[in-house]
Amino acid sequence: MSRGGRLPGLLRLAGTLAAGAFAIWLGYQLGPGDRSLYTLMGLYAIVAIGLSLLMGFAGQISLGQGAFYALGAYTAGILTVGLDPDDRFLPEAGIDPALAVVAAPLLTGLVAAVIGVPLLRLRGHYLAFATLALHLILLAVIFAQSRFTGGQDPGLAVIEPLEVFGWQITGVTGGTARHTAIVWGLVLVTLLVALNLVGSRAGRALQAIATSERTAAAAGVNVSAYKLRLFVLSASLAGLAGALYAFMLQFLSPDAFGVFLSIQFVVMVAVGGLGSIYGAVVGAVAITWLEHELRELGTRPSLLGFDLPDQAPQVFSVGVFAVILIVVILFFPRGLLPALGDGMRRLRPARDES
Amino acid sequence: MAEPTTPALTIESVSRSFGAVHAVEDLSFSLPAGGLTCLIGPNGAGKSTLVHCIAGFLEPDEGHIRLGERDVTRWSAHRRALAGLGIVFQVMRAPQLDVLESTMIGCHAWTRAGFLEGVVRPPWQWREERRIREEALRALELVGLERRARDPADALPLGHLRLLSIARVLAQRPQVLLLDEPVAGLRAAEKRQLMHVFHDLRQAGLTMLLIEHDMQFVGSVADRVIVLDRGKLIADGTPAEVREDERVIGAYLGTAAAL
Repeated sequence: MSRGGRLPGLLRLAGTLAAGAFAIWLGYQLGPGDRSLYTLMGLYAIVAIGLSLLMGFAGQISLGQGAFYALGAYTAGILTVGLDPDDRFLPEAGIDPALAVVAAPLLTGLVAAVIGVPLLRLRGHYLAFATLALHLILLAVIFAQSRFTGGQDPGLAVIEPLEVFGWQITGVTGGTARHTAIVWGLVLVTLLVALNLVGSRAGRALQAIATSERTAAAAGVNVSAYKLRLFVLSASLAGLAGALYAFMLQFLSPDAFGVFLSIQFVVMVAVGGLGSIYGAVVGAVAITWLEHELRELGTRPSLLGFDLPDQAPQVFSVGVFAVILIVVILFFPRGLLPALGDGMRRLRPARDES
Repeated sequence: MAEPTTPALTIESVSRSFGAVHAVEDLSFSLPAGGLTCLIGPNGAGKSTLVHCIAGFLEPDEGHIRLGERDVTRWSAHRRALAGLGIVFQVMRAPQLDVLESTMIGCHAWTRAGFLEGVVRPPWQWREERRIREEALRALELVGLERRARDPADALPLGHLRLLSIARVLAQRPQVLLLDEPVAGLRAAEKRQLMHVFHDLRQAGLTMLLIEHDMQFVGSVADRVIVLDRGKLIADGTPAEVREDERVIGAYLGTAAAL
């Protein structure tokens, strides 16, 4: 073992499965209030894993993951309640919610495949802006097509409970324990999918792309096709998470999918480390928790003797996340967690190098 | 073995200019299968432009490039790699992988497991993965790097990094190998080691085109030397012939005392 801190494959797999089992078990243990925050952490972790792959391997910063998340949520929601707004009062208007949850990531992936072809020709900041624009366009569509989407008022109520083979998963607002457990089960599945991908031929090709696109192409890697596939994968994961979100609150409104959400996903990945799959989960949990705490802080009537305005929660979040992002980019370009790992390794006694 | 009548690589009246500068002008030569040819020339002779045209990163304004019988002039770089072209770049950035895995990237060209197979891992994927591993180990042994197989690639010194990039390209099983200044910056012992590697590869029947500055190295490995100056071919022959050539001496006068 010459590579420091690298666990043998089986041990790592066992550890991951054990952690996943614990995460699922925890879903049953938490009270309703904590549980909805915990579910949200899981949903965001699924999005962050996909974005971490995209940012780490394709070198693309996407500020549009929130858009794919919203697209997944609205796809699942609208399919469940029925496409035709006039028929929505009929019980048979929509399709089975379970089918809608499957359809959402597929449609999101399809949209990503279509827009990815021109978008991925852009590099660096341009792609970030283009994906941000995508998010703004989607929000405008949700507002404009309010007859179809419910808009901001009254929003879209997805009352139909999510049921798989007669096994009810949601029903009570805020998400039942089963829903939470399933979300974290899917986090585990996503994690294993991503780990398998990274350790395969395709993963090595992605690693080559991340190092040098030119060298990757010279080794026979179809760089643009690989980037597109990764973009589609990350969008589908966001779409899946969005679809599950639709059944968590059973209510959709564009307020839940602001542009800030997309930025938050990027912060999660930056904290967890580009291309780091475990890091993405930790980043998602940490940032979701921090955002929750900041909102609690901001909604208090006063802080240190000062009256807090209504905008305080947003101001706190934007400010704190901006600082985190800048600090990470300036001082820990590989991410906070990998930097911590490196620090730990340096503290250990030096090993024989040969 | 290819037909003796079909060259492994053909450059056919290739021209490429940047604005008013003719980097490569109406250049033609061909490499018969097997053998090591060196391409030399003073700075600005058009060597890098030609390398980029052959690799597929730059499109020639005119002319054709053939790999075997196939006209690859308009092909993308990755398609040329699949058709049997291997390139060793002068600068190689090491990926965040160990040496063996970095070499395994080279096997991409002749394997096929994609995203789905990587995730689902059907039995044939495992078999393919084993073949990739074996081939990569064989390539590492060929360049003498097998003992460092499990070291992180980004911790390798320059000489070993160069060997790694050669091992990776060998794992690609190329028919034509393009090497851009493979011994630049290497120590004498490392150069000698590379000389042996190139010798073995030539014995194995590989066609190699080596861009090089180091005349001593060129003299010791090349079967044939092609000299470029200002985008044109000015000499083509054995190392001994080229060294005597008036035009070559003129082109190099005052630039490289090595001749």
